[in-house]
Amino acid sequence: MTDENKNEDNVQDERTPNEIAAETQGMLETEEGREVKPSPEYTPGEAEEIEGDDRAAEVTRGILEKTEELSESEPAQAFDNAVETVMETLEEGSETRMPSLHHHYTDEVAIPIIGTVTLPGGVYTAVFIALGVFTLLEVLTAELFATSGIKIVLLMGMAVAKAFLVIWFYMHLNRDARSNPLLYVVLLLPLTVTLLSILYLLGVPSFGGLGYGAV
Amino acid sequence: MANIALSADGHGHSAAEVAHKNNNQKLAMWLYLASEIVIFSIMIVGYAIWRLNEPIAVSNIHKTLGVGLVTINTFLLLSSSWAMVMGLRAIEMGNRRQFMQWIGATALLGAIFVGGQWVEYRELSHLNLTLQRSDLTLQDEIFESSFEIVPLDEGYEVTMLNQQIINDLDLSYDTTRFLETTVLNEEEYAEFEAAITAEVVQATSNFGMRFYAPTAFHGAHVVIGVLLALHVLYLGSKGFYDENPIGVELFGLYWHFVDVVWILLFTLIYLV
Repeated sequence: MTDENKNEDNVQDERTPNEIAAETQGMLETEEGREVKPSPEYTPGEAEEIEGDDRAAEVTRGILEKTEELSESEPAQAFDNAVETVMETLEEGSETRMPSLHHHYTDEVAIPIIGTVTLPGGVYTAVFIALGVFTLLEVLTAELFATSGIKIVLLMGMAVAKAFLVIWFYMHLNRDARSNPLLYVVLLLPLTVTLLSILYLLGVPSFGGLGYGAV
Repeated sequence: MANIALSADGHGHSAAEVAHKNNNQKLAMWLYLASEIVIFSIMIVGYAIWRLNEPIAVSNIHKTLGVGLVTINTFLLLSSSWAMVMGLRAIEMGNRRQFMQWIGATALLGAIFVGGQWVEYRELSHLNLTLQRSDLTLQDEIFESSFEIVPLDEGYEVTMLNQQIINDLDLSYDTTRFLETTVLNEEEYAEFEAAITAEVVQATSNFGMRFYAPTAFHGAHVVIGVLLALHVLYLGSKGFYDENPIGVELFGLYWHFVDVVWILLFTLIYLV
């Protein structure tokens, strides 16, 4: 039974208005699937719009005038405020649940060890500075020290740190992977396969033979 | 009285719907980048394995090449990545003018990077480091910076412009004669040419493919990235990203990925 039919049935209904309201004014469903309480709208000045001198019109006018009077009363105002507060709370809730298309930006950056710094461009600029410093350190390390295992590990370590900074902050893995952890798989699966392949490749004996250690 | 807004916005698409679509597009971009990871990994690993086996050759190449130009190029690309992300930040904060400036800077820095790479490739070609060529003769252009050869009636007059190239040559006659302009007879010249070209073919076949494959492939990505940046710039000027800047973010993912690849290539190929 639809709401419209219900209202038509109400014409012959013998229940009190409160009883009808209690039954028909259940929870309404919004488009997002939430349920809200209906708020009975009342437009001031409706009484003046009723025309005619017969008894029916007089009674209707009387009811409307009384309603208008009551809507100004303290309990009615209190009810209004209560409904408004509920609606505001619901809206706030829906805003946080709704993923926002725009991100909040601030020029303040919390840097480990140094503390909170204010930079134009915020974390993006801080990352850029870090990338520049790492690059200078890399070039200095490469130029000043003779080739050794430690130097290679140091250089590759700095390169990986730079790559991580770009992926984490510039490619927004820090916030996107939280809502979609599949991104970790997409990134790490090819890298893992490659790493295992390198180890496999390095296991190939240099001088032929039948297998590992056959040199 | 309280007003109940039943629709999320006036455009017919709810913010949740758009965000969901955006997330799908981002995942698609990441999947594309995953395929790029595989391609670049193959070339990077190919270089790394060769690098392990040829420490002396690589050290010689590093000494001749230097790191000045490539360091400048690296800074250009890092700056372009920063400009890119600042552009995204500007459009997400609703500042279209600043967005245009930052993305314009991204395209410009990327283009200069490609120019730098072109200069570097030319330098390399003068050092006889190119892709393999099997039919080299000393009259070839790539030896121009190394020797000056004048054909005589009997034999050739050879002047060394780059002394280093003959240091490791295994010739039956004394190579110290090359310190001054030398006249070689036909037989000596043939031996000299064979030794030099064999050496160069060996060096280029070893280094050329392993060096050019990843760097040129990366360079091509930068070229495409610059074109994409110009496209983003054009769409941005029409207000295409004002409501939903996901297109900028997707291009950013591509551009930063190209930056990450360069960060690794720079260290692995030029520094290690």
